[in-house]
Amino acid sequence: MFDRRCEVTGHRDLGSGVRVLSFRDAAMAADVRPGTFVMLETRPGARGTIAAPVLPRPFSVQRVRGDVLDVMYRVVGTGTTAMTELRPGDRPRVLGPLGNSFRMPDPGETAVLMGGGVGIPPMVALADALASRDGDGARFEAYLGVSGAADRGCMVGFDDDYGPDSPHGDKVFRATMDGSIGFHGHVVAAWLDRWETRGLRPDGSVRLYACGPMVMLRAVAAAAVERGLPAQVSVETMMGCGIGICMGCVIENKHYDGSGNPYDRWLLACRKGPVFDADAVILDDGGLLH
Amino acid sequence: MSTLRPEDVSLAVDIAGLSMSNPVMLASGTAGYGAEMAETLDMPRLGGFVTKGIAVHPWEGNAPPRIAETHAGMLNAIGLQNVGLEGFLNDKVPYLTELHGRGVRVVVNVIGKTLDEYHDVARGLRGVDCVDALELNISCPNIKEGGIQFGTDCTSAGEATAATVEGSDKPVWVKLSPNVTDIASMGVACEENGAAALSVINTLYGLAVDLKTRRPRLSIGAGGLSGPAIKPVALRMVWQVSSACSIPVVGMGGIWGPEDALEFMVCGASAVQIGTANFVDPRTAEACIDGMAAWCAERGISDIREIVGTLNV
Repeated sequence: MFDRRCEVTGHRDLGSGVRVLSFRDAAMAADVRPGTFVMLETRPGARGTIAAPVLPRPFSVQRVRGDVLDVMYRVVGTGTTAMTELRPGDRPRVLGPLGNSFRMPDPGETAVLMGGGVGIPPMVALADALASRDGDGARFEAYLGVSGAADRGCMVGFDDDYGPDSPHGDKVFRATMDGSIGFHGHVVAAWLDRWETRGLRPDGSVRLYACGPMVMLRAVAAAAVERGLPAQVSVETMMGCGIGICMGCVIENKHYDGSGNPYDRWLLACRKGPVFDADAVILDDGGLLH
Repeated sequence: MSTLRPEDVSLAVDIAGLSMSNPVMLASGTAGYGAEMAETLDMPRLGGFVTKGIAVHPWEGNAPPRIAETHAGMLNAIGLQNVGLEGFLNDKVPYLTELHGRGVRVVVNVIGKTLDEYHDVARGLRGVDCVDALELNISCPNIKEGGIQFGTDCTSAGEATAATVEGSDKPVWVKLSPNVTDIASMGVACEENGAAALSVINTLYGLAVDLKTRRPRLSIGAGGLSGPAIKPVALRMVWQVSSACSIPVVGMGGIWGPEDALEFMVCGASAVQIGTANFVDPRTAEACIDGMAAWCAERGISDIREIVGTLNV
């Protein structure tokens, strides 16, 4: 884990408030694994000043190219609005990489990646890690869901590197709630439609990975449990520090039954996560996270 | 122009017989049990460290959302989630022993819901060599008194202090709640019941609202406000308490850099604690130590204790 100022090298506006910020740090880049995240100072120079946004914000790493890290975000509040002002050459403070990472599939297993909206980025990181493996190790299919064509930007990581002509392009499936791109409906419905309605389930064992809104993660977890498939999810919670000292970012331990140590009821998403086995936590943010 | 170099400034302070290499500590609940910070902060540079509150048994804490950012600060309602006395002794003391061995004063924040619970934590920490002092958190609900916080009533605060002092073989500091009409009288009540020092202040009770849902932004409703937003309140209270009491005051509330820390000392604090700033920049404490020495050197102040309580009013 590193704590430094990183030079912004790029900042793409993908429409509908979706953006990708790129910054450079060789050591941090070398330590990133699929699922890890960074805490980012949203306004350059905010350190030492007292105006909002006070707290850094967490972002999953979408992609590493050489010594450059990409994070995707959607402009939703004070912090992400401040971030839009970041320009190449600015040096926001970054803490990372933080948190755990996805359990990689065993050779021969097919990884099934499901991403919703600005939850797609860690699936890009995972796809990149899988694509860099040889032969059987590289087997994956990806299901990407957004609300409609205006949100296409959320899929940029797959559009850039896993387009129709790429080696993995035929295994990337898109879904929109309004039907404007790909499957008409929810990303989980797109997955089940392909596998079960059309019978196109890959041979052999599979392992599911998902990141997106809680409602989507609940659907993935329920479908995985019903079918006896191993699944991991990456969760988003309100996070203050990223290193386990504010204790704000908790998610409920599904296996805590009240008889054990009460300290174990709430798990720190920054230290125990952000990746959890899908049946290990209660995927509920009380509808308060937006 | 002073010829004094920052390294020649004595930053050493003394809190009720406890010597510290410098006045900068990390505040309870903002730095875990210490080890969490060690990757980012050079922990042995600290004057002191205050642990997350410890109860006699583990507490689960509140449901999320537990935190909400506000203007120049944040609200929290963590609910004092903690590993409990046994978990602390088994899992946290080894790191704190190492830290203590490197010259950092270790203070354990003590929480409880009854006088007996405060007393029992204090007893359980008897003879634990790495623990230099206790800091009593009286912003806990008093179950016997219908959940009213110990720290909002002079009698309850005094009783909690006495119960902890009686159970302990270490100096007991009391962390005062700002959510009172007259904080100086709270400090006096604690001093009369055996407190060795006073930590001033805990968080201010506040509320943040999500206008879209018209719900509080914290799961349990209101919570504790911290950060630079509360600094003027904290400075006023440090000044009032240090004027009314004869025991040392440790000041905290929105310290973001060395000048903030120095202001607290001018208002009467003998040491300071860094809290919310740890979330924003885990190295704030180091910046404070270096900046305080530099500030003193520039003004020819060879001993930082010279500035304590020098507010011109």
